[in-house]
Amino acid sequence: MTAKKQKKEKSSKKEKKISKTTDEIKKFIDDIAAEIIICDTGDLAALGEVSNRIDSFKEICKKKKASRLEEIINDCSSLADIVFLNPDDEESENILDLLREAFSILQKNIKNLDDKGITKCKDISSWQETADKKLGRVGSKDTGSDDANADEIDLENEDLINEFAENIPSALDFIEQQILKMENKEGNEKDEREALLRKIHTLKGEAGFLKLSSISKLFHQMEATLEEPLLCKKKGFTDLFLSTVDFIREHQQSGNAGSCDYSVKTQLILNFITGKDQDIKSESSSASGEYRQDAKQIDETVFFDFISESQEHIQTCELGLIEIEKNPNDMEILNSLFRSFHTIKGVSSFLELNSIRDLTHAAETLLDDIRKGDRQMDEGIVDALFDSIDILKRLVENPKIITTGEGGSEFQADYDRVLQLLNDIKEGKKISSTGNVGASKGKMIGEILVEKGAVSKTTVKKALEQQQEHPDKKLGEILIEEKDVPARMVAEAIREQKTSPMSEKTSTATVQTDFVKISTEKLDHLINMVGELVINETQIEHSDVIQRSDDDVLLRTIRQISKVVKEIQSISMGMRMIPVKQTFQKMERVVRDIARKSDKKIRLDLLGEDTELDRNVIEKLYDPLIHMIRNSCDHGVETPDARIKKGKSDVGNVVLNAYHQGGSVVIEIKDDGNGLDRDAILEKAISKGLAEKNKTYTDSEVFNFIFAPGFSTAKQVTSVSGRGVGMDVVKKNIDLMRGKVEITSEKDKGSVFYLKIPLTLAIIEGMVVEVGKERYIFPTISVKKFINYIEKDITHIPGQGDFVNDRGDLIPLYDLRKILQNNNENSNGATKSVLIIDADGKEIGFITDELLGQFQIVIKTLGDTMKNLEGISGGAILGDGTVGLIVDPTGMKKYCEEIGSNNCNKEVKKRITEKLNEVKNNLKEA
Amino acid sequence: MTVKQEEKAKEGKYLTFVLDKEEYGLEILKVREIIGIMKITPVPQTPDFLKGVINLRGKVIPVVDLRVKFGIPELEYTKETCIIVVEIEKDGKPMTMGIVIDSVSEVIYIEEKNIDERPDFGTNIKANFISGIGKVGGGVKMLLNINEVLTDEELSTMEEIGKQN
Repeated sequence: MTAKKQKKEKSSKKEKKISKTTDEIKKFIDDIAAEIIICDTGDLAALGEVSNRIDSFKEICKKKKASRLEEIINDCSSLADIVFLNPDDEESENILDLLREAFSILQKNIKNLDDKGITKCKDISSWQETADKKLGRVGSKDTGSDDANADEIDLENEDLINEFAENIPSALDFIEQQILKMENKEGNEKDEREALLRKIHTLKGEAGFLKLSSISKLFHQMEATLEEPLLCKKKGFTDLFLSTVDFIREHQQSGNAGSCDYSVKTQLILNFITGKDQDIKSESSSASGEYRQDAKQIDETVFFDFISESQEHIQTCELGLIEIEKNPNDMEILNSLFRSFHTIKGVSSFLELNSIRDLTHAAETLLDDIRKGDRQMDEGIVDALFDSIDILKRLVENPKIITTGEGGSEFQADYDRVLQLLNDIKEGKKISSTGNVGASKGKMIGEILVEKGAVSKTTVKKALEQQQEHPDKKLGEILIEEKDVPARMVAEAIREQKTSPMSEKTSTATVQTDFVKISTEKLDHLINMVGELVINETQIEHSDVIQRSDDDVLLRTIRQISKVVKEIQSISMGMRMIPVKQTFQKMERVVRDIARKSDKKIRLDLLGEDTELDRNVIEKLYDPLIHMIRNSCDHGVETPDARIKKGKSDVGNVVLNAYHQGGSVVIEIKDDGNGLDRDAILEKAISKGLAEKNKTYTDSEVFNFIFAPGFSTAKQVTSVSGRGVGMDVVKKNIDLMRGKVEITSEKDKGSVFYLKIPLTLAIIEGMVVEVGKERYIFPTISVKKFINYIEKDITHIPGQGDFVNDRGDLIPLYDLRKILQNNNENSNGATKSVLIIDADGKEIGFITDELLGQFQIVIKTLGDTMKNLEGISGGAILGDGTVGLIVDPTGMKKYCEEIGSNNCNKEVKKRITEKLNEVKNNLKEA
Repeated sequence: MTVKQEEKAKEGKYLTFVLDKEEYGLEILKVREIIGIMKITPVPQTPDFLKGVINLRGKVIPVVDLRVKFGIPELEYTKETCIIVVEIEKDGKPMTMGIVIDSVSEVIYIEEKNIDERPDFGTNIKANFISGIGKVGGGVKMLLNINEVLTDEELSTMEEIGKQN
C-alpha cells in the first residue's frame, strides 16, 4: 500500500537537519504553496510530499519559537493528514482548497516575516476559524469514513499493531532507564535527552501510522516536553514521565495498549508544559496531582467501587470505635481503624475527592498520634471520630455531594465543624516530630529505602535533619543530592510509596474474587425456572405411567432426578440468603448514640448473628429494627439512678437475638427496663378512641395499640423518640414482609418484642385449603388452628353473622365460598373445616371445604392491575401447575368485616357494576 | 380523561382468530404465544371479563375473556378454545396478558390497500378497539387494537375497585 510507504517516509524525513534562517521559512512557504497548487486529492505521492514538508515546516517554527506561525502550520498539518487518509472523500477536495488558501495568505504576508515568525498576518484569523470548523466537522466525519474502511484497514494493520504492541515493553524499559539517567545526571545530559527524544519520536511515528491516535498524541506531547531542556529539569518531570510509562505499561499488559484512551495523560503533560500543573503540585507530589486530574473523568466503575469499599471501611471504623471505647489501649483495633481511614484517604485522593480526603486525613493524623503514643484515646476523640464517620457516610451515600461538591449549606456546616473539631483536637497538643507529614503518605521514603537496603538508617536520619533546615525539599531529593542513594532507587521507592494504598485495595479485591455479582433479576429468573422445574418434576413423579411402571432403572432415575431437583431448589433459594450480622452490628452504633444523648448506660448483646435471611428481607428489616432499638433504649431502659433505685445494675441491657422458629426467623429485641405500662396504654387508647372503656382486653391486644399511628404514652417527646411514629413504621414494614410483631412485657422487668418474619419474601410456608373448585393459601405464620365444622357449635346472630364457640372463645366466622367466589350454594354436605387465623391480634375463622396441607409456596405477584385487591396478597403456583391465591389475613379480616359475610355477594356485585357503569358513562361522554 | 390518538391499522402480518363466528385480526408483533385453554384461577373483586389468572411458565398473568368483554354470551370452553398471550402497554410499562378466544385461524399478511377504516356508527359509540377492517379474500377481518381493548380506564377501574373494597 502506497499510503504506508508514504507515512514511513514522512516520519523519517521529519528528522532532517533544519536551517535556522528566516529565509528557510520563506522558502518553505513558497515551496509548499507551489506544490499544493499542483497536487490533487487522488495523488497520494504528491500529497505525502506536501504533508512531509508541512511537518518539517512545523518543526522549524517550533525551533524558532514562531508560535503564531506554528499554530497555523499545525492546523495545516492536521488538514493535510485528513486529506491524505481519506483521498476518496468528497470533503478532501474542499480541505485541499483550504490548504491552498492558507499558503496563499502566508505568501501575501511574507513581507511581515521576521525572527518571531509572522507576527502580523492579514486574513489568517478568518482562515483559522474555517480550518477549526473543518477540523471539528471533518474530524467526526473522519471517524465515520474510518469505520467504513475499518475492516480493510484493520485486517491490514492487525499484524503491525501486534508488532507495535510487542515492542512497547522494551521501549518503555528504555524510556524509563533514560528518564532515570537524566534525573541522575549520568552521562551527557543532552545526549541522553536526545536518545530519549528519538525513541519517543519513533514510537509516535509508528503509532500515528497505525492510527492509534490517542497514544500517538501522548507520545507527541512527551516529545514536545523533551524538546525543551528546561522543562526536563522542571520539578516533577521524572515523576510525571515515570507515571506515564507505568500507565502505558499497565494498559499494554491488559492487552489494549494501542486502543485505549490516553487523553488524560496527554492533557497532563500538556499542562506540565504550559505550567498549569503548578497549583496542583503545590499540595503534594506531582504524581497525586495527576491522579486528581484523572478524577475529572473518573471511571464510573472505579468510583462506585470506591463507594462500596468505603462503606465497608466505614462500618469497620464504627465497630472499631465502639470497641476501642471499651478497650482504649487495644493496638490491634487502633491499627485497623487507622488502616480504614488511611485506605479511604488514599483512594479518595487518587480520585480527587478532596472533601473526603481532607476529612480522613485529619482523622488519620489524629489516630496516628495515638498510635505513636503522643496522645491518649479519650471520649472527645472517639466522638469526633464518630462525627467524621457520620459525615463520611453522608458523603458516600450521596455521591452527588462528592462529585458536585454541593451538599447544601447544612451539610457544609456539619462538614466544616467536624473538620475543625478534628483539627482542634490535634492542635491541642503540638506534634513535635516533622516525620508526621511523611507518615500520612503511608510508609515514608526513608523507611522504604532502608527496607530495600539502599541506605542505612543513619543516612536517613542525617537527611531528615537536613530536611528540617530545608522544609520544602523532599527527603528523596536530599538523599540524591548527597549522593547517598541512586536516584533510581528513590524513584522506585516513591513509586512503591504511592502505590501502597492501592495495593491494599487490590488485596481486598482478591479476597472478594470468590464472589460473583449477579443481578437480582437474573437470580429471580433462575429461581422462577427452578420452581417450574420442581413442579414439572413432581408431575412426572406422580404421573400414572411412572406410578404403574415396574422398570427399576427408570424409577431409580426418577428418584435421583427428584433429589437433584430438590437440591437445586435449596441451593437457588440459599443464594439470596445473607446473615443478619451486618444489620445487627449497625445497631451498636444506634445504642451507643442514644445512651450518650440520654445519659444512660446501655449494653447491647448480639446473638444469632449468623442467622440467614433473604437479602430483600434484611434490607427491609433495617428501619423497623432501628425503631425497635430506639424504643427499647429510650422508653425501656431507665436512667442509671432509677435503675439503682429499683435494685438493678446501673447498666441497662438490650439483647438482639435472631433464631429460626418453624419456617420463619424470629428477631427478638429484649430489654431489662421499665416494661410497658399496660394501664397507661389502655387509658391512652381509650382517649384516642381506639379502645372501648368497659371492654376487657388481653395483654397482647393492649400492647398492640402502641402500633397505632401517632400513639405515644411518652409525656415528653425526646430527640430520639416519643412522637409515636416509630412503632407505626415497625408494624407497617413487618406487615409488608408478611411478618408479625408480638410483645410480652412485665412491669419493671422489661419487655420483649418478637419480630416474626419470613425467611424470604419469595417463599412462604402456607396452608393450602380447598374452597369449591379453588385452592387458597393462608400463610402458616398466621394460622392458629383447624377445627372441624360442627353444626351445633356454630351460632348465627341475625343481621350480624356467625360465630363459633371454640372451647369458650367466641370467634367470628366467615364463609370463604361466599366471600371469595360470590357463591351462595352450600357445599353438598361434605365435611368442612374451620380455619382459625390470627389477624392483628384478633382471632377469626374461615369456613373452608378441606385442608390440603402445608407447603412451601413461591409467591408471585398478580401484576399491577390486581395489586390492590383487599385480602389477596398474591398468587402461587401449586404442585399441579395451577395458580392458587394467597390470602392476606389482616386484609381479609378487614374486607370481611366491611362487607359482612351474609350480604357480601350482592354488595360486591353492586359496587363493581356501579363502578363499571360509571366508567362506561365517562367513556361515552368523552 | 385524555382522549387518545386513534391508531390506524398498519400493513403487516396478523394473527386471525374466531370469536362468535366473526373473524378478528391481531397484530402479530403483539402476540407472545398461543396456548391451549387451561385452568384459570378466578380472582375475587375483579370485573367479570377478567377470568382470573394462569401460570405461564412460572409467571402469573391475568386472563381476559373476549366474549365477556365484548358482551357476547359465554360458551363452555372446548378443545378449540385458546388463550393468546399478548404484550400490551399500560402506563408506558409492558404487561403480559392472556385473552380467551374461540379458536385461532391463521397468520395472514394484509396489505395497506386492503385495510379500510372502520365504518362510522355515529359519535356515541366508541369502537376504538377496532383499528381497521382488513379485506381478505371474500371476507373481512376486524383488526383489533389490543391495547385499546384492555383500556387503561377499565384496567385502572379494577385497581380502583380493589382499593375501595
